[in-house]
Amino acid sequence: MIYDLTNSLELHLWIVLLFFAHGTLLVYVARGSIENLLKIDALAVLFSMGFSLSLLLNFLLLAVTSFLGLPLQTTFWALLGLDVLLISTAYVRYRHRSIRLNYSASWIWLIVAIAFVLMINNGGLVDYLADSWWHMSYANKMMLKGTVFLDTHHFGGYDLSKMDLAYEPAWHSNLALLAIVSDYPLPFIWHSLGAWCFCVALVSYYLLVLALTENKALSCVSVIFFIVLFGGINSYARVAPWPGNVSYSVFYLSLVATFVILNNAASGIHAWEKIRCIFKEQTGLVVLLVSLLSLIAVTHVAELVWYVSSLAFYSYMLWIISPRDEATPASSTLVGDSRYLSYLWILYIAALAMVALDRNASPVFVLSVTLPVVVITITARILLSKTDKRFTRNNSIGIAFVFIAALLTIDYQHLADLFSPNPMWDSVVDKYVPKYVVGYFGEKLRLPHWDHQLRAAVLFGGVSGVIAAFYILAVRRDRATVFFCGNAIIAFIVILSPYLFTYIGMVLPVDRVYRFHTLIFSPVILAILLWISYEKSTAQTPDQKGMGEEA
Amino acid sequence: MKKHSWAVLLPLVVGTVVLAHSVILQGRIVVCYEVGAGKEAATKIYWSTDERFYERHSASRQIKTGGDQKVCLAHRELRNINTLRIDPIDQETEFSISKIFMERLDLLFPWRQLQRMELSIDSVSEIHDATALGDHGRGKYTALSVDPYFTFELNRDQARIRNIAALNLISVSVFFLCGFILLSVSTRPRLVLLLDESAQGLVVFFLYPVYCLAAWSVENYADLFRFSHIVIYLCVVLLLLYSYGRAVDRLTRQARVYLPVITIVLLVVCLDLTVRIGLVDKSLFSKPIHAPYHWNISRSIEDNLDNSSVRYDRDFRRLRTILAPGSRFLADLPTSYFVTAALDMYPVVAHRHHKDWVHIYLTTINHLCRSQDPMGFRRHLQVKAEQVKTHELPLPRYMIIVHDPNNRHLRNSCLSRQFESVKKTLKDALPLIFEGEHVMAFELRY
Repeated sequence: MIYDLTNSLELHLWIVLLFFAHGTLLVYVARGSIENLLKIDALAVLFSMGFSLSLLLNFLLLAVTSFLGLPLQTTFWALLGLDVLLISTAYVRYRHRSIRLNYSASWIWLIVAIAFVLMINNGGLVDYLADSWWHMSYANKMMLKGTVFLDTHHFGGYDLSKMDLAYEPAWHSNLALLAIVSDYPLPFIWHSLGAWCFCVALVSYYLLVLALTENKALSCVSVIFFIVLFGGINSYARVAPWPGNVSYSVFYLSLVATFVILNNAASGIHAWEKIRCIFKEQTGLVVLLVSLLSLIAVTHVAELVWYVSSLAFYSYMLWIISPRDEATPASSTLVGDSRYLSYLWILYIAALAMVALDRNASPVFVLSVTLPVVVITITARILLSKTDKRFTRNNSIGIAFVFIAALLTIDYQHLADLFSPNPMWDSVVDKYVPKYVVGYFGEKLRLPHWDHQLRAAVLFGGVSGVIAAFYILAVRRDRATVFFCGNAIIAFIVILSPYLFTYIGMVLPVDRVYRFHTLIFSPVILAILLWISYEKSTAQTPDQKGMGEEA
Repeated sequence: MKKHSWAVLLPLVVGTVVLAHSVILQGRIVVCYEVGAGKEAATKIYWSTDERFYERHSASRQIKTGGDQKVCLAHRELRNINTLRIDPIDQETEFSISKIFMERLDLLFPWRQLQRMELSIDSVSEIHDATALGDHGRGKYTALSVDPYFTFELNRDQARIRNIAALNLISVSVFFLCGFILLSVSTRPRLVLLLDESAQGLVVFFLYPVYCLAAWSVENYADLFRFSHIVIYLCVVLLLLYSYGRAVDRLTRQARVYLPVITIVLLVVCLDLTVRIGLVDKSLFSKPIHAPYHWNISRSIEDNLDNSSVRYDRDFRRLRTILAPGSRFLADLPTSYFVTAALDMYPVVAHRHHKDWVHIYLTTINHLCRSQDPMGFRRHLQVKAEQVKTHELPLPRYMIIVHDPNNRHLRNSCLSRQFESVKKTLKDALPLIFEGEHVMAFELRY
């Protein structure tokens, strides 16, 4: 069989059936419970959530099938049964009452269509023998052994107790299912999935920006920047079928669900009461959020850390710059968010320290790297709690002090190295270790190696994005700017600061922590910058306004 | 003086200083390194445009005993060299050498840093009469004679590309900075007057690197003056035009919106020239490690599939019924990955980050290509088998070869380049158990 564009049509139909159909049906059936989410853009939600929930459902059924010792092929029939059940439920449930979905047209679909066409050719098989083949090996072993629970390592063949690299099985099991059902070879499946996975990433990114900015044009510009600007691993189009990148899409969707929940959360009551209200009044969304987070946990768990980190960073930014009055809608959203997230930062740093101790890091070492974080936290709290939180002189001094404290933790040699790539450093063994801190505290502090997929991301996207983030935060403060810009600034500092980087690295292996650059949301930051510029340029002066009104 | 007059005058002054500095120190390059020795000694560098070294193209300095001392030797001639030789000491004793770099002196701080070229001891092309003590990376050596030296082949082309990349980036960042500062001052409520003034100052400050960039490019890199740079300069011109138009309030509302938008689009396209649109063949970075991950307008479906294993699928399906599931196999690197993604088998050759145990068979393929002796290959396999047993690892049971001249990954393997002779050697040495359209499998016997 010759594999080309013509005969890949059948495979694309299988992809739609297995990776979109039942998730989309489930969202459609449960639309009454997640109405607030669907209000953002129903079609985009159906598409992206459909993909995510399909993956989760597939994995759950595959796990059950494997547990029962049945052939994996059985899952396909179970899924068909589920689809029939969902269609029947939808018919019975919505036969007499209709819930209108917001299917308004958006440029995003044209952008996604162009990206899809581009990616049909580009595909997911990168030009060299990369980890994609390692992942295909995992899926292949599941397929041939007929179970998602392998008792030997799929690549090394040795016992799982000797396993050097553990990977969560959800994405691989989905690949195995697709390979079994479609009978296409895995490399061809991997190639073809590139287009779909990248489009899901684009739509998820679009939804995230739209949920926070409520501006479709800005969201579309963000997606265009996501496609054309050089970015980090989360924007690598051809790596879209890697489990980590699939997980990034789910990570964006988890943030969307979280902010929709926060939008509709009750205010003015005690903490436990707030949480109880959320569970009671927004059960559907909470279940959806838990499902998405569970999917991340079984696909590529690092994104769970990014999810918590992004909210913790947002919490910290709210802490230090949020206004407390509710005079404007933007401020009231921020105030609402800060009521729910105010202590997340402290919980975050405490949880990281506890995990590190649990993993047998020496207490002195944990304390040493925790100290700068605690100092930044305490100074922020003391200096800023005394002011009225508006952009007053005192507040500015407080922010400046915290900022300088953060700057003091940065390794500037490392920052200089970003602009001066040195191809000869690859062979240096201790490449993650900034030279001037070797041997302190009895253990090594670490920093990411720029050439590990990080330089291009930070140079092309990060530097411009972070500089723009400072400006945007100075001129506009709403949920979108505080979340995106705050994350960009703190994530950038984490990558540059051996203390902060090591602190988070105690929880994740070093080769995953460098992906903190994911939280530098450069495309959306540059889009917001353009939008602010556009608004300012087209703003009418009071004279022009008056003339307009008279006319 | 009006604000926009300052905006013109200050960059002119700054630019004059930069150019004067560049002219005075034009072409001077400094080589620095840290050297430490147990005895007093002379340290010396030689430079050359080929592989021969002459005393007239050298510079030296005395070093004292004790800790590491930083030695910097500058010379105008260093600019066009291809080979650099460092003689750390002229004594037969222990010494250390580290932190070697070359740097241009004709640009002002901090932009000089961008020109810095770090030289790692790991990358020397020749080490003469010196042997490493312990950890090679720490730079401690013993001199075996009074003439130890290290020779570096300088890939200047690589260094140039690298520097251009950094400066491209800076120009982009400068653009963004200038752009948003300029745009920010379009509406001026009373409160932000101070911000407005500061913005003008910042714009002037950030014009400085633009001057550096222009002077540097015209002086040294006219040969590398590519389309992408013209676009960047065009953007800078547009920006200046915009700045002037805003200062004298001559821009229409449409121009105020579209000029920065066009500039951003131009820049984005410019950044994409290398990887995605393919108009420029050299990457912006010396190591284009990110390029394969991004989409490219000219890549076709065949490009991908030709370099994958989909065309061997029929052979692999047949092999599933012939080879024992769960067994280990020996193959070259690409075949190892292709097979493990298609069969229930485990490779003994893989990338280092995919295997945590000893790489016993890494040299086997090269041995096979080199020797072409069936008996020699069998003996080699037996030696390897002994090593495997000492590590208590299972032995590979099969050897698999995929032959496909159209597949770039396989083409890079010596098995593919010498396929006919290797096939003959293997057929003489091992029993052939499968021969398909592209794939051959042999049983390994010990």
